[in-house]
Formats: sequence, C-alpha cells, structure tokens
Amino acid sequence: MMASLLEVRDLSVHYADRTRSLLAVNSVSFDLAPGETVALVGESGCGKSTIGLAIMGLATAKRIEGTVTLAFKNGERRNLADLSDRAMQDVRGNEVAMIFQEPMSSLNPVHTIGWQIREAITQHQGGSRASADGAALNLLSQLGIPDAERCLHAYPHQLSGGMRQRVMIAIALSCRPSLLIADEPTTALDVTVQAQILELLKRLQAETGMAILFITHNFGVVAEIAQRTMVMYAGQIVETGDYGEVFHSPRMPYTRALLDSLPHLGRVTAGTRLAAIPGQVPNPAALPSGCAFHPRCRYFVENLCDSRCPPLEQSANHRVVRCLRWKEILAPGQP
Amino acid sequence: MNRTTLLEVTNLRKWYAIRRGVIPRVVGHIRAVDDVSFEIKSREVLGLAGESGSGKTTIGRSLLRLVEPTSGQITFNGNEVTTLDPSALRRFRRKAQIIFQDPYSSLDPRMTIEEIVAEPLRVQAIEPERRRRRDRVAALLSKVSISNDYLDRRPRELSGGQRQRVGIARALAVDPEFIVADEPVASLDVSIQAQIVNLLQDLKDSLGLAILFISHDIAVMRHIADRIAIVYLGKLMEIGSAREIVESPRHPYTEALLSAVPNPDPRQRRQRIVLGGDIPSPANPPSGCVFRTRCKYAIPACAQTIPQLTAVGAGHYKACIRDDVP
Repeated sequence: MMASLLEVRDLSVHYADRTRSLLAVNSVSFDLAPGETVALVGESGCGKSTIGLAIMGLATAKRIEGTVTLAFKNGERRNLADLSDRAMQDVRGNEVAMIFQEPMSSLNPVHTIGWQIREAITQHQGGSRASADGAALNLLSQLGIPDAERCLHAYPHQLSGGMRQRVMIAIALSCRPSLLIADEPTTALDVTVQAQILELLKRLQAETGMAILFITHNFGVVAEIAQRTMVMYAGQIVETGDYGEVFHSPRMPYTRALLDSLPHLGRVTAGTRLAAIPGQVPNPAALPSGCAFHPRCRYFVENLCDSRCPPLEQSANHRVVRCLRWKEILAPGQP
Repeated sequence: MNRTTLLEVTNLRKWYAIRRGVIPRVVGHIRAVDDVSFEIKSREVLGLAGESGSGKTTIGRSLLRLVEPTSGQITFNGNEVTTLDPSALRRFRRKAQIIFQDPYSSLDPRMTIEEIVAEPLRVQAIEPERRRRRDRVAALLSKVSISNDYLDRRPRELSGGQRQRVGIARALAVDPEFIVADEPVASLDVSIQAQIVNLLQDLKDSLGLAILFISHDIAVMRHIADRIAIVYLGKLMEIGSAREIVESPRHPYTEALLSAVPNPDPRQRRQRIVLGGDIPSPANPPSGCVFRTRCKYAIPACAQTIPQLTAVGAGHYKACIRDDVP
C-alpha cells in the first residue's frame, strides 16, 4: 500500500455556545492516499464541513483535539495541528486548498477575477505581476473558460454560478496543492452545470495527481467522483468502504435508510412513496445516549443501542461499520 | 380517468422592462416567461422542471397574480384570473395558495406558529372567533404532524422540516383546491425531503388538491407528479406524463437535462450529454428555438422558426422542429 498523503487521527472539534459545549466532530480518523478521491457524506449538521475546515486550520472552534498529518511536497510529514498560523498560511494553497459551496461569497466582490487569481499566485510563489497574469490566463483557459482574457477583467457578479466556481477552482489549484478539499462545490449549481464541474475536477485530478476530499450530501455525485466513501452521522463516521460496496450492501442502518430515502429516476410507478427516515438529525448539544442514530433506527433494541456506544468495527475489504447489530441485521439473505 | 380542467394558462408572458439612462427609457426586455400554455386538471400534480433562470418560479407566481403577467390568459374553474379586481382576487386566493422554498425566510420570526397558520383565516375572515380559530389551527397542524405543543412557539425553535410543515399548514388553512409548491424540498436534507414529499402526496389524496410542483430535481418530481412540463429560458420545451418524460423524453433539452442527473447507483452509468456553456441571457434570447445554441441536434432551420408545441404521443407534446431526434 502506498504511503498515505493525509492521516487524520482522533480528530474532535468542540464548538462553544454561551452556555454549553457542542461536540461537532467526535474522534474521527481516516487516511487519504495520493491521487485518491474520498467522499465524505452526511446530512447538514453532521460535522462534515467542520472536518474540512479543521484540516485547513480554519475552524473557529473552542477546542480541537487529534492530529492531522500531511505529507508535504518536499517529503516531510508534519502534524498541521502543531503549526503556527503563519506556517499554516503557507500550507493553505501550496499543500492543501479548499473550495466551497457558494463561490459568490468566497470571491471578493470589489476586485476583478484577474486580481484575485494573481493575489493567490504572488502570495505563495512571488514573482512579477506580469508573470502572475500569464499564469492566471493559462489557468483559466485550462479550466475551459471561454474568452479567458475578458474573464480576467470581469468582476464576480458579472459571471454565472458555474463560471464563478471555475474561478474558485482556478484560485485553489493555482499553486498545485496535493490535496483539494471540495465542500459541496456543486450543490448551488444546476445539474447541467454540476455535470460540467464534475468532469472538470476529474480531468484536473488526472492531470495533476491531486487527492480530493469531496464533501457532499448527494450520493449521485459520490457515484460520479469517488472511489471510497465515508458516511457521517452526528459528528461520527458510521460507515466507510468502497462506494460501490457501500451502495449495494450498506451495513450501518443509517446508511441503508439514507440510500432508501433517495428519489430515483428509474422505473417507479406514479405515487410510489419514498422511504423517509422518521424524526430528525439530533441536536449536537443533546445527543442521544448510546448510538446517536438509535431514536430513528428501525433495528433499535432497548437496553442495548441506547446504553452502549458502538465502536467502529473492521470487516473484510476495508469496510468499517459502527453498529452493535450489523452482523445480525446482515444475516438474513446475505452471507 | 377523465378529470375536469381546473386551471388553464394560454400564452402567458411576463417580460420585465430594462430601463437605462438619466431619464429612464425602456431599452429592452427580460423575457422571463414567453408564450407558455398548459392546463392543470383538478386533483392533478403537474411538475414544472427547469434550471435556474428558466422562468419556473415566475410562472408559478403569475398563476396566483403574485407577479402581474404582461399578457396572456389564466382561467381558474372557467373564470379569468388576470382581470380580477382586488376583492375578487382575495376570494380567488381562498382557492389557490402557495408553499415557498425557504422555510426560514417565509415564516415571520416574530409570530408564533399559531399566528402564522391563523393569518390566512383572519385575513380571509373565515374564522373570526379567536378560540375557534385556535382549534382550527391545532387541527391543521395535526394534519401535517406537528404537535399542539408548538402552537405558542416561534419558528426559530423548529427544524427546517418542521418549518416546511408549518408552511404547508398555512397554505391549507383556507381549504384551497390548488397549491403552487415552489421548490418545497430544495432546502431540506434528503431524509427530511422524503418526509415532505410523502406528506404532500397524502394531502393531495385526502384533500383532493391540485398542485403545481416546481422543482429543479426531476427525480423528486418523478415520485409525486402525474405530468411533467420542462421549461427552458422562459419557454415550454416538452410536456407529457411523468413516466414518458422520464423514460422516453422527446425533446433534446429534456434528454440532456435527464442525462445530467447523477445516478447514485455506480453500476448504472448513463451516457451523459454535457451541455456546453451557460444558459443564454433572457434579455437577448437566441432567434428561433431558444435551446439551439446548446443543442447537439441543431440544424440551420432551428434559427429561423420558433418551434410550436406539437403532439408526439397521447398527451405528450414537444416544441422542436426535428421529429427524428432524440
């Protein structure tokens, strides 16, 4: 097995309210290999974005525990959690970059696109304005932006949502990071534009060999882009594995329920009901005892699921599942 | 099944004037909705699908006269809606209501849940007596599975799914025949989205509602709509039964739109048609067929004539001059 690019160990993030402390991410561990795409899937509030921000050193949390070890381009391996703010500034952009859901709020409305790409390049790599301009122009045309020259002189509001996301990707990739954290980058876009952006990310990954941590709530997008997936619920990873295997034989009841609740375009008869998950995502300030999913789980057993916290269990094919009953649930019909 | 026509829309048009200059002068028009015609039968769910900027929300709001159409006719139970005076319009809105996309901005944060759901009853003077109004609100909330404990709470104490339920209860308060549901599940999580779609389906069956279900998500629409209409750049491209639109689309745009929907099943990879470029500006739409600039089947004739809706099957129409594609 190849040495990993990123090793996250026991990452916990506590946010503080006026009165209480919220555990947004609860002891999360995972590895990312160079050039790999892993999808981090979950509903709003499950902590998936917080993980991305914590890796970038951008989470405004009360307390962050755990280690985030990154293999730098020069071969060094360092724990990002130990680095100073100044050192992290060099890491962001050069080693790890992040793109967000809403490109309009990530771009500065009072500067041109060219100015913003140039800023990223000169901040990290120095060089003259002219050479940065050349690099910016190159990047934009590489990203399939028609009339790149005119785009450099445009302001963010003059571009469409898809174009703005392309510009964000250009800025993120301007210094060739080895890891891109993509936080719901296509959620605000129309499906036809989403298709363009996913194709673009796949092509750029093939060209640059970067790894992608793709954060999304959309399993359709996961199928398009990721080999491996990690499913999160209430701050914890509850299942991981090869995406195809997770899709076809989910082991954690939450994953199963989530997949069942998806509307699909296949052969459905009119009026087919969707398999909704009852209840709602728990409040992180008042998590249920035992397994956090137990109040919504159809396999719930009293005095078991509500009293013991299920550990993450390894099984064949690098599958990992967090459920006390997964073997029993799996038993009927499947070996 | 033969149902009576509840709502009929003929050549609906909403153009917004673009004004420029020190002494503002009309220099052009944004053609948000351009010559759209369709009908909705009673107890029917018509899905209206399209991308952002296609005019689907403007169509929905025009039907209730929340935006004033530029021209065209809208008849509801045979009565013309576009010419109603204010008091007749108020009576019309007892029959036709709307559910909004964002359950955060569509509920007044300072009002209690009771006040929010009671407001239409008060405005329409349906239930002037306070105590009886409260009972009626409680009954409405139980229809959408919201417990009575919430009557005196405020929207901030509710989750997104619960707020959307309150929005639905408010729309149902006047006992309407027709509801415009404008992206009612777009801002909800997948597991909650399924709850709301199922709820709308139940209410439609038990109350006999007709619904215009506006969404950009055709997969969700497939589960609730009887028929689907596809719009692009203010124009109706194709309309037909939900099954035919999804399984055998006849318009090139519908085909491309469906192929772009990512499939969660990794074994079922569809042949994807990636549309180049962006949706053109509605201020300056292409001549002839508005989709031709991104259509892989476009021929020179597509720039010459505006395609009219023509039948391609029973109750299935498309606006495309090419019969041989897709």
